[in-house]
Amino acid sequence: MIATASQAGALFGFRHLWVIALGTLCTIFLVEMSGRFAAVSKHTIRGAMRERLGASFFVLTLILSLLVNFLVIASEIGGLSLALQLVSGIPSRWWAAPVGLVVWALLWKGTFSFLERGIALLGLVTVAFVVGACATHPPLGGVMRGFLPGGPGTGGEPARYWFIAVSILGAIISPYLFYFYSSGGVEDQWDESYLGVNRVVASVGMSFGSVVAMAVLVASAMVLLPRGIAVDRFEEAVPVLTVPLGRWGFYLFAASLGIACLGATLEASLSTAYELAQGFGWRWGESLAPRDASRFALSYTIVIAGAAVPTLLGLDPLKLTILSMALTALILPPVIVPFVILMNDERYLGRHRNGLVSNVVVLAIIALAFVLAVVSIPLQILGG
Amino acid sequence: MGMVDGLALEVVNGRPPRVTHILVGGVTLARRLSPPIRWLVLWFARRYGVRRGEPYRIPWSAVRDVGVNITVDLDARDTPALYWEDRVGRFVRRLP
Repeated sequence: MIATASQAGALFGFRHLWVIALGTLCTIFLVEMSGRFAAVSKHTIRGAMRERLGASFFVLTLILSLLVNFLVIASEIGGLSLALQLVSGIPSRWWAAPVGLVVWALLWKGTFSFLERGIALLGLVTVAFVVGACATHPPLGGVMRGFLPGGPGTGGEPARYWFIAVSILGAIISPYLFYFYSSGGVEDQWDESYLGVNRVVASVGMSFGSVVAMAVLVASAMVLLPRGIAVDRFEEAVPVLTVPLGRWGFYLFAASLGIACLGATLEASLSTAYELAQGFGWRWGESLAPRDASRFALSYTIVIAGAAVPTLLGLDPLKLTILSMALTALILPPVIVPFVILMNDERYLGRHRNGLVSNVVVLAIIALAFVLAVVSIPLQILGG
Repeated sequence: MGMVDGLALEVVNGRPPRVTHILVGGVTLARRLSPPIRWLVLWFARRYGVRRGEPYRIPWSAVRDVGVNITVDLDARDTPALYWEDRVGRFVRRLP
């Protein structure tokens, strides 16, 4: 999200703020549904997709999801390695293996609640972007106008603008997030008494990430756009914090980038293992010892090892990130359509089924997902 | 124990079909997928599987409850359903 938001701000000023707001609204609804489903049915979204929609649909969506997850993990490992390169001066490719090993060790030895709390606590460092954005003194009127849906404005490239918009939505409405969240609900043994907590976590948690992304965009618009820096590489986004916060901004940028990437790597790796295990009926659980859920543990081990390879080979993490975001947008329809079926299934949810508002929203998100899927590849070619 | 991958039906002339077994295992799942995936899974199962390509069959008489979850009167450890979990577990135990 740091990558796409900084690109958006650097190229189009505040004009993508409405896209972040739209993506966040969609994600809040879908995450709330994922948590509600887990709390009431004690089943995960992925497991229920296999049970309710059959093996063929499950395998098709699994293959798509594994491909996108792999790219996401690879780009996040690249981002984390790059953060270490910024601080140490040692090229990022040398960090790929140690980073992969640390991520694997955290999953191997850690429990779900340890990782959940650790990510949340460390993630607070990304507030630096909000501080940085405020320190640039952005014009309030201009920022507010960014929340009104619109295009690139005069002189802007429409294909580039809409490609970034699709990438932002792909970064926010991430399928792995829903699978991770519903699995977490089952891991934490949620029941119906957690429905209120679920609503708060979905709204506040997603809004926090959204505010940080908006701050990155605003700071980029204030710092990078006037200097003509287009963010073709992650390193070019560093002034977003060094200009408003000085030397501390450099370390805060590296820490924020590293921690955001670490969190996403852990979540996407776990989500991949969850998807495989729940779909095939293996034992699963991050809180179980690896020997008690061996296929689950081996899944994330293999994925992390493989996903470290692109960085090891020197591939640009920003290119991987942009590609993975566009592909995420492409696979959204088969990921989101099951929500409307599962969330209305009385056998799973009883009286906690979707109401009229939730169904209208999820149908609108499905319509948006189809539009994104249709335009993502042409826009990738024209504006990517 | 795992997912229900298929059902075995007994069809006798003049009577409605009757479920006789629950089938568990990737082989049954693979039969519903595209030919290359089916062929790959069947080859692997015949070569390395504990039942040489045959799914594990749970008799319907062992079924105790049917809902979103199905409860059977069996100990998973006494069945081949956890064969691969145990085999992979042997490798996983060697890791630190």
